[in-house]
Amino acid sequence: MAGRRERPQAALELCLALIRLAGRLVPAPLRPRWAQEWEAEVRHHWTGLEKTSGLNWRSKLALVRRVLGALPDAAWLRRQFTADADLVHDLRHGLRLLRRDLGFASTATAILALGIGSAGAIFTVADALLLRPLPYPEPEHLVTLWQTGPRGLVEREEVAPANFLDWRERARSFSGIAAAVPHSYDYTGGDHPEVLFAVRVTEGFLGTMGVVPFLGRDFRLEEHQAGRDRVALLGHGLWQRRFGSDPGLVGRTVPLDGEPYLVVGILPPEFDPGLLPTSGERGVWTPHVVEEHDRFVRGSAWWNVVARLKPGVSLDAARAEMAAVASALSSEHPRTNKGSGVVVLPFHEHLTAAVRPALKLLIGAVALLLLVTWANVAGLLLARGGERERELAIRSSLGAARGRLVRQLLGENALLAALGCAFGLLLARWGVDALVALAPADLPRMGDVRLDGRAVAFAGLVTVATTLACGIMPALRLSHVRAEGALRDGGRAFTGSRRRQRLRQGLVVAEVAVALVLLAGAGLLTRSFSHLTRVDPGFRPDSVVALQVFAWDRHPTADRLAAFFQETLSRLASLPGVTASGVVSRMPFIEASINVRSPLAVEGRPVAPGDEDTTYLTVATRGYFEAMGIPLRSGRFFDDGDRRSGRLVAVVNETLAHRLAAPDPLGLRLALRWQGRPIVAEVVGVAAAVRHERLDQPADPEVFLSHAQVPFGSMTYVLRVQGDPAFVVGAARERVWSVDPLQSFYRTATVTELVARSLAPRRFLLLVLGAFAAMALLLTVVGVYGLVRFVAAQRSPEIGVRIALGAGAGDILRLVLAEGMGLVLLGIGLGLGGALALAGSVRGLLYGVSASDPATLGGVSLLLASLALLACYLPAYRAMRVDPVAALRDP
Amino acid sequence: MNVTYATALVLEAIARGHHYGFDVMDATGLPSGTVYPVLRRLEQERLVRSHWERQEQAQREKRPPRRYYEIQPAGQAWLEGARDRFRRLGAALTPARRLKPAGAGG
Repeated sequence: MAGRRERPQAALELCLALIRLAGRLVPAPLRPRWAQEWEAEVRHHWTGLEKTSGLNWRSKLALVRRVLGALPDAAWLRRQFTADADLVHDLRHGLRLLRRDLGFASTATAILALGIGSAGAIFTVADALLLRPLPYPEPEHLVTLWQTGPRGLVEREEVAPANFLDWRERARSFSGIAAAVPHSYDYTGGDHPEVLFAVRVTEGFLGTMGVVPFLGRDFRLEEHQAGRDRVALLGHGLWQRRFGSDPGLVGRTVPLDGEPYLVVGILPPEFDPGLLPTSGERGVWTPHVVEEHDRFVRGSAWWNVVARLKPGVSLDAARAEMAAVASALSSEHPRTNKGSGVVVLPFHEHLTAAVRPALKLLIGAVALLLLVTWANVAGLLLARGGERERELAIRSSLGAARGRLVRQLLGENALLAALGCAFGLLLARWGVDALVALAPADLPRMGDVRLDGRAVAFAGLVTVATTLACGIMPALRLSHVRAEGALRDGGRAFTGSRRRQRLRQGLVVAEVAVALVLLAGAGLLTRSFSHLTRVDPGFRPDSVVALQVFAWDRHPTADRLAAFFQETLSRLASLPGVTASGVVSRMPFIEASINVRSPLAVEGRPVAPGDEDTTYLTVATRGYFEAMGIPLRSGRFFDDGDRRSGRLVAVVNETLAHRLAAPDPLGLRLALRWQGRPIVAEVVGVAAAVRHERLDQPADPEVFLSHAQVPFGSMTYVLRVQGDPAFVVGAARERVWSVDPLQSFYRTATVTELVARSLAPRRFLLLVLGAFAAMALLLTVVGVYGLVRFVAAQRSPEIGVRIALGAGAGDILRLVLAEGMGLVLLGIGLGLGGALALAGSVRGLLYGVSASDPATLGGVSLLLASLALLACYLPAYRAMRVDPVAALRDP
Repeated sequence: MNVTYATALVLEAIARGHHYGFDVMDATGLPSGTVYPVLRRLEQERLVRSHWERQEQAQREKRPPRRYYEIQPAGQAWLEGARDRFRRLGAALTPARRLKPAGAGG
């Protein structure tokens, strides 16, 4: 019996559950009473059925169906309460109005699309580069380690091999620590050897990063031993491009440097650790075998170190431990490590450090641009409000509530903003493509940048903000319209328009001010850029070709190296069009520049311990100076008398000459270390200081040794040519191959290209900021024009009277111009204040110009003022020609 | 208040003594999803008034008190007009099961 009573109760329970469910829709204040009504009815009905023994499946089903009606009931209440129904109505009404006024609708949509599109594009880039987590497990535990150079030279640099090995041995903070060493292989499968950029990694590199190969396996521990290291992992890109994504490649061998390397795996497509120069192009990964000399090299730093913090070890703890390790090393190896520390940097910070200031600036700029578009559209809405006033006044006098009117106006604005958002997303798509195309090629993670759901969500947020920002003021303003005034004035509502006009004036002032800030920023960057392009780099980059080779492998002894370079140089010198040629070890502006450092002392000048100087050591031939166009300041360059057997000579750069603080450094004998051995070289000449890597950084001290005296294998041919430099590259390669057909070229480029590449980030920033400033300028000028035209039209009866009373054309012109230019000048004043206040945000990106540079600020003010004057002049000119009779008769 | 057939029918049912939501449904044959919104609107426009059934009755049946709808003078007037439009309004209704609930209204 009990079972029989259980089941009918279940139907009742179901009904009550349905009511509770539907009740969620009911606005909270009404919910208790609503639920009570339904429950009472259902229970009453149930009791009735029980009493009349009418409980059967049919009657229960009917009851459940009836209870399902609670859902529309609840939905209806909700609609009533939140006035959703009104919203739909408002939107429809808005759409009708916008269709009627296509000119306004398309202008406003275009302006909003511009703002939302620019913001969306910048957000997308910033999101991919700064905000999105790295594609590694627990990326917050991943750090990079750097050494700080000995005093005076570098702030943070790669790590010397012996330092890394000591760190790895001593540090306890990390669950894994590994180094990546830039390398290259000659791929010898083709006609000529082709350089493949590579990375050699120490034990556990991929494990530390948390990366699992896409195909195949990671290196085994024993493969980091000499003789077993002929294995390789290939990057996904190289595997696709060169090997046609052939999965059968894993397990086969590829010829690298003439040796078969077994491909053990393929790396995942998104893996780009962004650690090494030209990171994205590095397609070959091989195990590094720690060799005996790695344990001694502390003077040259080129290893990139990553580590993973042990669980529970904080960044600060790791930093403290590494500081202790570094200080121990600097007392054990004072000659190389004196004053050298360790920088422990979160991996994410390392990747974003280079782009962060520029992106911050762009985010600020795009926010300002968005403000200008808002002010512009709000101005348009206000202007249109004048025409809407009558309609609203009538509706208001017929009893429409003020809130209802505000809602309707906001609904219209939401519609505009939504249209703007749709077109804006389209613009953002193109904008992102353009940004990716323009961006400097070696930005890490730039490949990940694409418009996605997050960007769409962001655009949606901006759209809501836009609706409120553009709409709320005009809407409140309009809904205030007093019916009698607007209707009595026959549509020309002077009473209402006075305040509206003041609001528009305020908006124009704001636009001018913000546009000026953007223009000032763009102007300062432009000035910096032009300063930089005029910086004397210490050489003449035009018509110079660079070809970098690593000749050690093919010519392992000093004699063979000397012979190889002597022979190739003499064949290159006879190449048609080549006017000068030489080789150098440390080539300016090339990615894989060989930076060798040495302690420096002058013979006969005692140095207090801890006060030793350091210098870069560069090997060059005499022809190098000539080919690069490096001027001689005093003494001589190398000559034929400088032989292997003779005393060593040195040419120093001007920076070092000043540092040596001698009236004439010629004849000084410098104590240096070269390839681990102390040497002494006599200064025979002073050359102009050459900037390396960046134009905005002054040259470091540099000592040149003669290639004839200390042959070196990592060299760059430098050729000064007449005619097309690109054409010479091919011919030059053939000449080198005529000496050794298996010599590969690591990098070939014109020096102009190399220098331009170093400016690419600045050019990028300048272009984008310039585009924003130009848009803001255009919108502002249009805004000024719109306002002045409106005011002039409104004052045309007054102007008519003035003309009738004898005012000349010049008076009228002045009257109208003063109206507009007063606002523009006020805006410029405020903008200058803003630009000075924001100077700090741009200071770090400037070169050779102060953030408050009067010439720049004055120049952009003048530009803005003169364009605004033009925008005022056109309507003023029209006002000047007002026909007084017509203006007075037909107000 | 729009004069729709459903509205008129519901008001007519209330006028004839069907005072509760489910009773109105029984009388008019309209689904609950129609009847309740109509009742809400009628009350909003003050054509009907609602109050809650006395506690004792509810306690006897171990349930919350029911909501009781009553036509107002304005509703009567409105109904006169609607009757003009829908001549056969009365015929559409089934007779009330119980004309006046025990203990309700007063």
